[in-house]
Amino acid sequence: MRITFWGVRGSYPTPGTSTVRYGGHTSCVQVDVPGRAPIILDAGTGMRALGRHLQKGPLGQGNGTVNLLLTHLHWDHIQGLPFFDPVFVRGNRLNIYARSGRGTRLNEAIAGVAGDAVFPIVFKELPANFKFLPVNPKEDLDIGGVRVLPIALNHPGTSTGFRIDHGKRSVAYITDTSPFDRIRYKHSFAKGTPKRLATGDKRILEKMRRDLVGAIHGCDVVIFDTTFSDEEYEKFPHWGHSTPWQALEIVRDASAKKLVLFHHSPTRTDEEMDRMLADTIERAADTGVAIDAARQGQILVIE
Amino acid sequence: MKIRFWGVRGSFVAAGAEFVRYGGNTACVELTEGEKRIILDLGSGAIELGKTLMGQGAKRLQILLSHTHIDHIQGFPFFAPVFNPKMQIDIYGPRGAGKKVDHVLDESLNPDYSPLFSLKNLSAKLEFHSLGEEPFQIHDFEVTAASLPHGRIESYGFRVEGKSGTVAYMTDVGYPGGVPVQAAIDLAKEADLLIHDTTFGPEDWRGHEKWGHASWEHALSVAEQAGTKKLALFHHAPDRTDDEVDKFVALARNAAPKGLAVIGAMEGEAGVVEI
Repeated sequence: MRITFWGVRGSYPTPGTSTVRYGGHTSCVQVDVPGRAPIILDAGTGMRALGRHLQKGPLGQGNGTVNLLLTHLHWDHIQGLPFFDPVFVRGNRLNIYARSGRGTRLNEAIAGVAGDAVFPIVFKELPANFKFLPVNPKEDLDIGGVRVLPIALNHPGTSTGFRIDHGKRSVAYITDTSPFDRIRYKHSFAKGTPKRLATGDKRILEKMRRDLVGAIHGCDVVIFDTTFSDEEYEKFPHWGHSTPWQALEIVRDASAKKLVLFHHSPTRTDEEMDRMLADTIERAADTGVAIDAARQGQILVIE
Repeated sequence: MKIRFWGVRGSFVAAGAEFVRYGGNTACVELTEGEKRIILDLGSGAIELGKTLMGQGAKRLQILLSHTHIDHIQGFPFFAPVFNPKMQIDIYGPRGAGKKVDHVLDESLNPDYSPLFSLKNLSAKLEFHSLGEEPFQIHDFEVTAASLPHGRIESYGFRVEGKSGTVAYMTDVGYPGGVPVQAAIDLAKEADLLIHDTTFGPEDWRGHEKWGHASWEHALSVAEQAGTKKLALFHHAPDRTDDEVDKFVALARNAAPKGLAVIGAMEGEAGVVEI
């Protein structure tokens, strides 16, 4: 199993000298299993370069398939889609798996990404064949012989993580999510965290966390939303993101092998990322969990 | 007047070492005369501008949007002043594909796409104005807007006349047959600076005639017919590296009529133009 990071940044893309090493493009990760169509996790701005790369294969000939799994439809996770070259080639197939947060039909929500007010070409005129496949947490998917498990996460408007298994190898992609203690997102705007969490919400959150820990149990690699430092989280606990420490606790409880920091804050410079990584490695010393931080262009091979 | 580029890139953000000199953020330009300010477009460059403005105590901002394609509005939900309850922001924009600008921005924040859910959740006082052809005043600036062809929707070009000089801004624009329209030439008439879409060079424009973007040849033609003093190549293609932008600037300089200065629009302090 091979994992390629095309975009690792959260919220918005950050070009510039201070983010060159870790990269400025937003969420997009490619997972390859030999002999299968590529699985793509999220369609952030990293997806444009991925499209260029994939055009060298069957997708360039209009003879390829891509399975795209979307955690959610926030802009930083979808805005690469209309700039993904394979969608402009007739004959290509794009299977899009996602949940739509507010109950909009998935195809309509995705089409809005390329509505004529915001993009020069209307979605329905794109030559590739699109298939929209709604997903539900805990309902296993068989994607071309690869097992994928959707996992409910705690984020404004909802988000869905994925565990991908093939043979004895597994990777989990857990972004975007808040930890499961201070706020439970519902279908309304979250201005701040509640003063006291209702007992019902508290129970639901505890169950969500247990389910997540169970779902990623024993994973080789867990890619996790670690937008915040501890101090930043205290300022913005209602923004729907986690810290490396919160991620580490979950990954440790799941007896997973490796945590990869991901969805880096747009304000985080390369030097600050180095420090965050070093600090997390130190904190993880007694947990048995290996730590890395995702960099644009990085390839992880799980042998 | 001081012109500062916060984003010069077209269509898509360019993140990487080969784009750091001209900059990889999408369209956003700040015009200032003393304390008076106009902002052109809210591409990703607007995010850094927003942070800077928060430290300066500005209470009211005026923003002109050329159109609502994503590379011109993607900075909006991260533009810090929209979260300041003491701020009033006037946004002047066209009807994008028949929809009013507030409608398009509101849709872009809907619960599927954004944790903000709606324009209603932004703390600043927002006022939206539809652009027309009549000149209007912002502070001491006289602003003229004109609809220009951009693929299948309209994109507005602007002429901003201040006390110390005149700037014309036209992005994104694609001239049918490669012949600049009179409205563009009128906007740029004897301007001190023309900021013009130069997504393409003359060769790669062919084959992309319908994309709604211009080549530096078209920009030169507008500048020459309008008698503009200086031309800034703008809306650099997302794959155009710093060295390639340098080459574009050199080619355009060679082809420029006598008396017309040519520069490549560049993010940051290094790219500031004073007129």
